[in-house]
Amino acid sequence: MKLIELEIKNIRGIKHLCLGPNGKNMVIFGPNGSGKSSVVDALDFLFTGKIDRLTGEGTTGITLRDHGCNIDCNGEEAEVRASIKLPGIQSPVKIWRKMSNQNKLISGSQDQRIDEILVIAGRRENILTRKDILKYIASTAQSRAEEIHKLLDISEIEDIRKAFVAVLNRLKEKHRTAINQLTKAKESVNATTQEKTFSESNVINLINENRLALGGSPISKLAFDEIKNGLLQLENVAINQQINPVLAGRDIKNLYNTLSDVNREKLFKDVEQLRELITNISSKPELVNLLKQHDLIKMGLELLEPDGKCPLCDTEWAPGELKKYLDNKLKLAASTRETRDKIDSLSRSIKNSLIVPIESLEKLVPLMKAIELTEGIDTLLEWKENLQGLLDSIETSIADYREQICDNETVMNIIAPSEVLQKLELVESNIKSKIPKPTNQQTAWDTLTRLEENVKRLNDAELEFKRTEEAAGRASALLNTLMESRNRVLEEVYKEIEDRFVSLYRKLHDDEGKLRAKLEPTKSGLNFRVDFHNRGLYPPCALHSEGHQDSMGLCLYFALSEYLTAGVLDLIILDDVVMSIDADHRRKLCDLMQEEFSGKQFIITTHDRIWKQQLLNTRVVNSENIWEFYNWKIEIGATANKVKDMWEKIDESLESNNVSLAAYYLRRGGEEFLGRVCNELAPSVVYRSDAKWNFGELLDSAIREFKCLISDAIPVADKDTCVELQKRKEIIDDAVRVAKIDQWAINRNIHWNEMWADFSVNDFKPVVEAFKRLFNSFTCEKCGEILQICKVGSKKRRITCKCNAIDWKLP
Amino acid sequence: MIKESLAERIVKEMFDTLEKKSTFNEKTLQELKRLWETRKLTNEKALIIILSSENEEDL
Repeated sequence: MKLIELEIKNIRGIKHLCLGPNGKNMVIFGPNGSGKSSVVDALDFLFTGKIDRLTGEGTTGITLRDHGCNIDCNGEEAEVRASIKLPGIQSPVKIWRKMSNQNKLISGSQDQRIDEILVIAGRRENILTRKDILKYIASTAQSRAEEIHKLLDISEIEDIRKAFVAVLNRLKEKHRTAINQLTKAKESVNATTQEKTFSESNVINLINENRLALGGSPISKLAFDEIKNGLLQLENVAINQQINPVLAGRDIKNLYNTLSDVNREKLFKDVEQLRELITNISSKPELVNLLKQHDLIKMGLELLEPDGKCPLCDTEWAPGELKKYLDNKLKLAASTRETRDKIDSLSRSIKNSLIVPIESLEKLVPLMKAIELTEGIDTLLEWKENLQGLLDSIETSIADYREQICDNETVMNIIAPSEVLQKLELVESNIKSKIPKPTNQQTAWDTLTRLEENVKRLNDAELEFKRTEEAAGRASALLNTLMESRNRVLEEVYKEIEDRFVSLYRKLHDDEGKLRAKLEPTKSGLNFRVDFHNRGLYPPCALHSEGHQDSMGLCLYFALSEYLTAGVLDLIILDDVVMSIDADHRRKLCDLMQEEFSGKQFIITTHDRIWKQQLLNTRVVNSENIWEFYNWKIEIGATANKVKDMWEKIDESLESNNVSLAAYYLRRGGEEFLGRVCNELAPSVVYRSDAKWNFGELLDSAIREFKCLISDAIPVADKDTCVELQKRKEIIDDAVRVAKIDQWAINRNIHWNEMWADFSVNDFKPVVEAFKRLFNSFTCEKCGEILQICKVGSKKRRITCKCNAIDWKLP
Repeated sequence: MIKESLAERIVKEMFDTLEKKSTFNEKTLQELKRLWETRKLTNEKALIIILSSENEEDL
């Protein structure tokens, strides 16, 4: 895509402006505050619907709606229109965007390819400002990665990554819940088997004992639907029997165990120890942090970058320093390991001791209700609620190391309330007296029924454990595969960009020898390191000068832009990007743009006269595509004019009868023109430390060299070229004769005094004509450009012009 | 004329790897691909359902 015409209405510092680069490079030149960057803002707005300058750090309260339009206008009057040339599409296409409908870029064509290209242009890949250079060069790895990822249009991948991480965390949380449910389910089984710890084989043995009593064969798998599988219904066994005094006796035995001195003291001591540990930890915030940080530090050490950069915040550390720091911190955190293990072991033991009585009470209370045994029911219910409350407070305290456990006396009352033993004895005797003793087969059946219920819960918990474990594993695999794929693809892309960057930067800074550079994706960022005089790779802002950093930013941008937009988006906008680059390297940058990016259209803004001149001298831009911005006023905004040809200025001055001004333009314009001639023909000139050669010095050198070159070219030229060379020599001789004589007229009028004041317009016109003929003799009649020398090594081999209509061999 | 976007390249690479490694069954892979095609691969709820339901019939 190339820009043919641009019309800006009421955008930023511009009221109304039309520019017509016609698909060629264009320079927008002018002092600070003349409105140059408003052109960049307008193009930014046209392609993206935003103005980047109005976004980002330090722009709080600044909006496109309020600050994107010219200060005296509203959104209705602000718009940008352009005529663009697109690859593969014959006629230029008109596009426009209005501030009042900022999200809609309207195209005057229905061709679908245009939309695709405009989507790419909308990524803002074709605009580079000084602010952008800083984003690529002098930034953290993370923000560099963000900027480059934005440019590479993979922010979507980052969104997907975040979603995958969130999903993984949610599934891990589900798995943690499943682990808790499984522990509780095992304790429920323990309540029935009256075992202290869960053992699958012991449970199977108990099942088989009861199955044997019912004439069944043993089973080998702990599955709820296996427990009664194959058992025949016996006459003396009630299937739905729920009130079994033997089972109730076992529940009561579990409760007696809880209340036993040994168990009570152990449970009390465990809770006391746990409370002390938590109280101790919660009084030392650093210890809480260390406990919480332990896993994080461990993971941080695993993720540590080779250069020692923090994987979390990208802070730069001297190599090895962060590892040392984290190792020390991990040692400190490791000292809490014992505490953490103790907490885990105590909480496990307490939970086991609490879940069994809770489970037993959950069975016993309904039984009491069923046989209308009301005495003691409230006490047992309250006991159950208190035990559950203690269990919950312990789980909460452990989760965030906040002391939530009640005092010793309350704990003791919860574990063994004073009246509960007495009530339990009453309940036991009442059950014995109220319910007849069941047969052994009935008890076996009821035990299996209860185990069936326990094992069903266990099987469900196991299933959930497995399901959540596998789901978390899948989420982890998905995330890892995404990251591996991202890194693999980016490494390929970065390698390509890195190679191109090196090749471009070497051309710009051949003084740095065989420069190397490395673009490395990290877990969360993108490292960019450049060789410093063969002393190793360093971040750009570590040792290189600002000028070098700017060159790096430019080359990195060129390489990226080329990768992303090759053959699609040929428009590159460079907004004041050479501020820190010296004149010599700017000249090389001009060569680079000519040699490497001749198919691209550059729009360059600058306030720097020398840079403008270099762009002109090196033919990056033609004189008709230099626009000078000047005289910005709040009422009229930016004013811009094409930089006028010197002859136009001279004619205008003579028309207004101002001979001195015409002479001034001839001298200054002549110096600029002859400077370019000398630049192309490379004659010997007198050395001047201030590089300010005067008109006469340049004129003599240029003429002398050009005549020599023509004389050299004649003997080796073919017949037609020889005639052409002879003709040109005659024109030069004739023009020189007149021009040399009349050079005094220029000096006389520039250095005006009364003595020379009588010089009329008619006196000066022949002088102007003579110089025009002389200057034209240095140019091609067809393309109008100054002739240039083609060298092989240091040897001058040909004289050519830009359009190649002239091609004179040299011996 | 327009290059495949990098995001597309990365996700394609991810699915190729998942397919090669047989990390997921065909149904899950198809469901994930469908999410990507409808630009909903950031939908956490849908992802949780898909990742949690694989092999449900085997369990």
